[in-house]
Amino acid sequence: MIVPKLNRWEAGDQPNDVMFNTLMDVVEFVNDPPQGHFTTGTSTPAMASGGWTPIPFTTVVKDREFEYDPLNPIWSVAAPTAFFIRTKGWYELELATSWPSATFGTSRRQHAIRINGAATTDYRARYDLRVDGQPMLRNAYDIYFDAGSYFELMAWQATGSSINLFDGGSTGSRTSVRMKWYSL
Amino acid sequence: MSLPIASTWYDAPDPASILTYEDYGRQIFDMLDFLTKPPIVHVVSTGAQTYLNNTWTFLQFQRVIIDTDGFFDPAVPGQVLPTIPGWYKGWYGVGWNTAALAGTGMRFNTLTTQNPTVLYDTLHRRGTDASFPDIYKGIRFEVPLTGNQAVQIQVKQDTGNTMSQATASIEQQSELFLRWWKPL
Repeated sequence: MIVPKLNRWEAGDQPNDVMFNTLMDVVEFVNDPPQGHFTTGTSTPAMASGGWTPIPFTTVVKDREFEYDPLNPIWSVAAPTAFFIRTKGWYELELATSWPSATFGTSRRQHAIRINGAATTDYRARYDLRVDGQPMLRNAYDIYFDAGSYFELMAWQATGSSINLFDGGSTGSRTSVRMKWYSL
Repeated sequence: MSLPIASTWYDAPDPASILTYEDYGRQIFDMLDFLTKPPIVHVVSTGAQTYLNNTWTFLQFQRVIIDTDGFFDPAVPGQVLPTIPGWYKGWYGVGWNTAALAGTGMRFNTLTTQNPTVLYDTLHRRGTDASFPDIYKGIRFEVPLTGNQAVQIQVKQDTGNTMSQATASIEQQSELFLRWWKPL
């Protein structure tokens, strides 16, 4: 989406349609900013043991960028692990990974954000869990993204063999990414 | 920066109805400008900090990622002081270094505001592994602040030994993020 440019009205300005339309564009943008909500749906993608694996997503709950321009969505099936930033700014992110029970192996489960695909830029999102605790990891971040960048949600486990993420049975219980623009 | 005051407009012949476009511009655009560029602060703890057994300790921050409005003072490294009143959204993370017996006992992380002192929900987690840092990241909170209330993170552990903060990389370092969200 295009971030409307705020121009202050000054003394001597004459009101015109451009000024008021720009104002309405800003209000509309703030009220309905770039945002997305994606899940793994009913899929249960396999996560390798001992390494970070990008999670492929399947289901769009909301993609405001797609609504604005279908050619430039946040997520598409062509790149199922990637979430593309079309509008620069600060974003709230809420991340969740849903893991199977301890019967699938007892090791720590983790997830993290990787930005622009470079292994060295794993984004400070490591989160640890004993598998005999709650099987769902959730956390939240605020991150500034440039337009054109992308991020992935990565998963890690070390049970010794590949295990599948868990289909929680409903949108709220599945592996998911939620994101919302809030600041320039 | 200060929080713009929402104005009430009046119909003629009330003298208060007589506004220049500069007045309108100030009242409308200052508000929208603030909403789209709210105060943000993000600080990270990079120093070696120790945590005595069964003792609450305030995290200290040394690195500033962003501080749009001077909420963090390096001379007072144990707090962030948002001087603009409002509801704030934020998240924090705490990294515990590896240590003998680190796989035992509990880790406690608590958001605290001062003036008056309020302790928010404490996150209780068991230690997981003596050979791997315990990293708790992206813990989301929303908190009302009046403009003179410092925000702090307290931590405690009860392994029986002294522990230290993880400092290896920003993936592991403790941190605190706050951004102005909405008026009180």
